[in-house]
Amino acid sequence: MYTYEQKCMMNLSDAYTMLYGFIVQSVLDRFGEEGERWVREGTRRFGRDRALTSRELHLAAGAKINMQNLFGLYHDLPSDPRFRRKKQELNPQERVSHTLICPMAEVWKEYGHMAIGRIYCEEFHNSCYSSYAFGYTQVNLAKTLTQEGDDHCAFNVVLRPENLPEDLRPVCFEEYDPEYVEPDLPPRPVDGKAGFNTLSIKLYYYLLEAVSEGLGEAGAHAIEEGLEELARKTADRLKACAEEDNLTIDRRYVEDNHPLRVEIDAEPMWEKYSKHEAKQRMEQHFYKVFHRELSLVCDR
Amino acid sequence: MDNIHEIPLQNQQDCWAMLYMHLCASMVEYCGQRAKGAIREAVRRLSEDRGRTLRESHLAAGAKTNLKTLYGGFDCLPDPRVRQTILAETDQVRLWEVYTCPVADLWVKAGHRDLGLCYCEEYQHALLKAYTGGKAQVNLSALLTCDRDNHCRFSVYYRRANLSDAQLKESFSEPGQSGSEVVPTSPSFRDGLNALSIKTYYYLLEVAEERFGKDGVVAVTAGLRELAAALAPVLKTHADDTLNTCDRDFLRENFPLALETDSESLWAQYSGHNAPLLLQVNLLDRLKKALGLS
Repeated sequence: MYTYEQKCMMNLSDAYTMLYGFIVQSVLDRFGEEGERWVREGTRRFGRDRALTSRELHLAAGAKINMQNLFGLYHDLPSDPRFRRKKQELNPQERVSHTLICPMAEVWKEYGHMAIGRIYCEEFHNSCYSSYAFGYTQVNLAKTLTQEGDDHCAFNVVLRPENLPEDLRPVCFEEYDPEYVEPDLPPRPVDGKAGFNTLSIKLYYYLLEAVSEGLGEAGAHAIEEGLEELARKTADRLKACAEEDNLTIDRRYVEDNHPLRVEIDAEPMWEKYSKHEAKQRMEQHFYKVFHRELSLVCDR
Repeated sequence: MDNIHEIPLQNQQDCWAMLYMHLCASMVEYCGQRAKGAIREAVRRLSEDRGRTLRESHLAAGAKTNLKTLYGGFDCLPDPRVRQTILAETDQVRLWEVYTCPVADLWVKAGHRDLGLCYCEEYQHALLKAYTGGKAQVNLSALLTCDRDNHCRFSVYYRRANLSDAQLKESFSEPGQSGSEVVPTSPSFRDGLNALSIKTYYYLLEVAEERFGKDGVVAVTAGLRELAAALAPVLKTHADDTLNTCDRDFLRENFPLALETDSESLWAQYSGHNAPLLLQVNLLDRLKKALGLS
């Protein structure tokens, strides 16, 4: 039995997962392998952005850039209550872990997006973990729940000090920094809504950016079509979830259970991620459909 | 794995595993923990060399440089003691698990698991990087040289969608076309291990000299001497156990290197850093003397 807050977390996560699935599906449907090229590129850019954001945060806190901190310090998302894993090793050089249940893989499977999930697994993790440690992380994800035949994900992510240039060793490992005093690193609360909101905007933005660069306006149109389908499917899912819990779909429910803010103008991130008419396309092709499906009244 | 044809191959494989282990152990002994970085760099250079050479030879044979070609026409045949399952094998994906690896066994039993880990963590990554111009993705989530694991698991992806048009043409047939199905043949077991042994030694020497100067060269040559001392009784035992005499004919079948570097043409490409001479005097001549073959 999950609490309301846990269910919100699960819905936020599922909507984020669906965003990738439906946008990518639309691009692949229209452009095939050429579309896949730019989807992979967009996924890598998203991974880099997410990694650099974590790295900046860690450096500002005086923490070392290593595997223990990548996977243990200041997560940008709370844990999904459905997620199950077995940690085998977490130290500054290594993070070895098996993911036993991945809610993202479950959602992709449910909507027939397993091959799309594979693209995400191949490109995102590699790009993100590698970029975090200046390109020196060795990322091994030899088993994935998005790979037919695999029954868990096997992460083996390593950063060896002997593979780093001299100037980066003290940045990454305290034993190479003789004057290092470990700072107090007070825990930071992790806000699921804010986390999924940020990641959803970035993920959408980088897909749009890469696809627009590679395929022009026709590519952007494919993304718009993906947004419309996403809006319909996400609305259906939210309605079903609310009905299951005897809750009414209102603005408050949507605010709690969907990553994006109900009012697009209330979102300051669009200023930074504004190119390629990202906000306008999102408003036209996602918000309008989503709100109509949920019978929500916009402030505008 | 114990028939009359397989035993000599196993012996050759063990000689290569010992060569890597003794040279690396000596580098760590003489140059300290910093040698680990040099060893990893040498393994990368060795593997990149292999990947580059394979790519060039596959292209010359008119083959497409994809995963099916790479592993179908690999530069070394597998040791008969290897037990593995190939879970998927296409031109874009290769997934496999290894349950027994004689090389890992030898390193772990000798107490050099850490040196084995340096090799395993770098080898396939660097090889695929060179073979595919950095476009393939290698994942090795479990490995027998890690004390946590009881098998190796490799997943390699080489996606058409990540390639330029030129590389796509070089690596894949067009969808729907039967295309070029040329799969180059691998060299013989001995030729493969001979080249691997020469390159392994060469790159360890090269990086050791670059990073540690004269001390690095001393470390590698000391390792060669230790290897000669360790190999002689092993080879004698192998010969005794199979009712053979440990003579030149036996070594030709059971030891991966020619006993005279002058008779091996590959040394012409790997003659830098005085590599052939140092190998001759510190390993081959000592081994011959210990075996009464001078």
